[in-house]
Amino acid sequence: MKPTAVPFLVSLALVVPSCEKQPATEPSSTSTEESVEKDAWRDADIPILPVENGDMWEYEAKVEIPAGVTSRGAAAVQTSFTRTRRYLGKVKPAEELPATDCFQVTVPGSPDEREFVEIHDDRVLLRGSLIMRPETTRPLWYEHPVPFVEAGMRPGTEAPGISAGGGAMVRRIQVIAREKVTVPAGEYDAIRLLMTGTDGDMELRRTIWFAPGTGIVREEKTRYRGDRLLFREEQSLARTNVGR
Amino acid sequence: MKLFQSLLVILLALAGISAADTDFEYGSRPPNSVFDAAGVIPPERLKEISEPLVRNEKLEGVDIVVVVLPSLAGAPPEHVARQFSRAWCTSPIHAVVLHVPGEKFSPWIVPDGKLIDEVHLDVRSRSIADAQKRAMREPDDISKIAAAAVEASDMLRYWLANYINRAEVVKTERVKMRLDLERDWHNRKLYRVLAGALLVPLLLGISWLAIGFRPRGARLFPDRRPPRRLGAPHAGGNHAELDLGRGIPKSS
Repeated sequence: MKPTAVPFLVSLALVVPSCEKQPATEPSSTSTEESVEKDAWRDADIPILPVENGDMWEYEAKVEIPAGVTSRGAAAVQTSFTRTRRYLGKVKPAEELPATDCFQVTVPGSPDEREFVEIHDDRVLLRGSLIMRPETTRPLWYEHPVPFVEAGMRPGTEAPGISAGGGAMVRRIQVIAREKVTVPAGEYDAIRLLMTGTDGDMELRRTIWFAPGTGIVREEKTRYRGDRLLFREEQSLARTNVGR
Repeated sequence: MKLFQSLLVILLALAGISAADTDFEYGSRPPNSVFDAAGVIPPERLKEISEPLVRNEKLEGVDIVVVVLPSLAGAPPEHVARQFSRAWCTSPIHAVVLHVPGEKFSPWIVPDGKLIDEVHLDVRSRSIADAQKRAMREPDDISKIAAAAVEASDMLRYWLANYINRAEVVKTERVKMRLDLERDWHNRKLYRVLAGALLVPLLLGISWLAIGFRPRGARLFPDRRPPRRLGAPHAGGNHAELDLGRGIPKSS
């Protein structure tokens, strides 16, 4: 064999095995479609809550208190009222705390309540709350922002749990579905959240319909203690000046 | 005769249908997913309970049937619920909400279906227990039924969506692995071609060097310079040589 043939044969031996069969790949179109759907949700949700000073949400609310709860032998109570939520801008909850987005919630006959949140383009985080009573000087404040709602939230997922007061307050937020909900203010595409948890010896169950771009459009809240239902409250968005 | 035969066919067909109806002692499933044998749900509340159930089944495949019985007749509630489930539910994820007015631990939520097995047993048990406990605390039968129906719906919708998410993750991971394999295959092919491309000139070079330095064969005349003889200023043979640098030596 000629010497010059040797290198040729060696290179051939290296290249020919490269012509092996290509491994079969699954079509990725299905996972691509699902990713596209997820991104489409996220894109459509942003900005998740575009607020300006003076923005207002007015809710028609109804509360039911079963018999025997307010006092022994007391009759069941059913009452309706209007709850108004107004955006105040950045407010300091207390001197030593940073200014953060603040909503003031007003119910006739009850002290106002302030809700402190952080509003970003793609998420809303809970920071705390404060009932505006003369004797209340300090807000309930979460040291770390707690995720409440996020753009692109998928049904079947869960937000990080909340725990405060050494475990006295616990919250779990699950995303149940994305569904249309009809309220007096109109029909909205909403994220249906289920919040369950405890506040000391009280247990709560709260279903929230959050419409990205608008805010909370419907809510159902029940509280329990021991083996009793304490009250049930439902509220539906009746009017708002926040665009969709 | 023909009339008789036609009537016979019709009667047999009707008998077949009747037989199907009476296979299950409670008959066929109601179209609104609520079976109130105890007669406790007023019509206006019935619609409020059944509409979301029908909608969720149609849009998401989550099937909830509400059954209200006057009594369990001593049977365990889960057993009774599963009888309804087997007779009336075909979805891979479904539940029966069973309520018996006056029973202390009623209502019961009994999920079933292939996809229920995908939920971890601890998670399933805890979720059902919490849901039942909340529904039990409602003040009256209708509120208990309504609450249990909502709890069951939320629970199953969440589990189904969670299962779909996990399945997508597995599928995505599998696709990623396949794409990695394909990329590795392409890289290996590239490396082999590059190796071949580098090796060829290298081997050629080695071959030429080997050829150049190999011991000479019989037919090759080496390039040799014959030595000077007897001090002659020139060498003999084919290569006459004259050293001009040292001048003409003196003759001895």
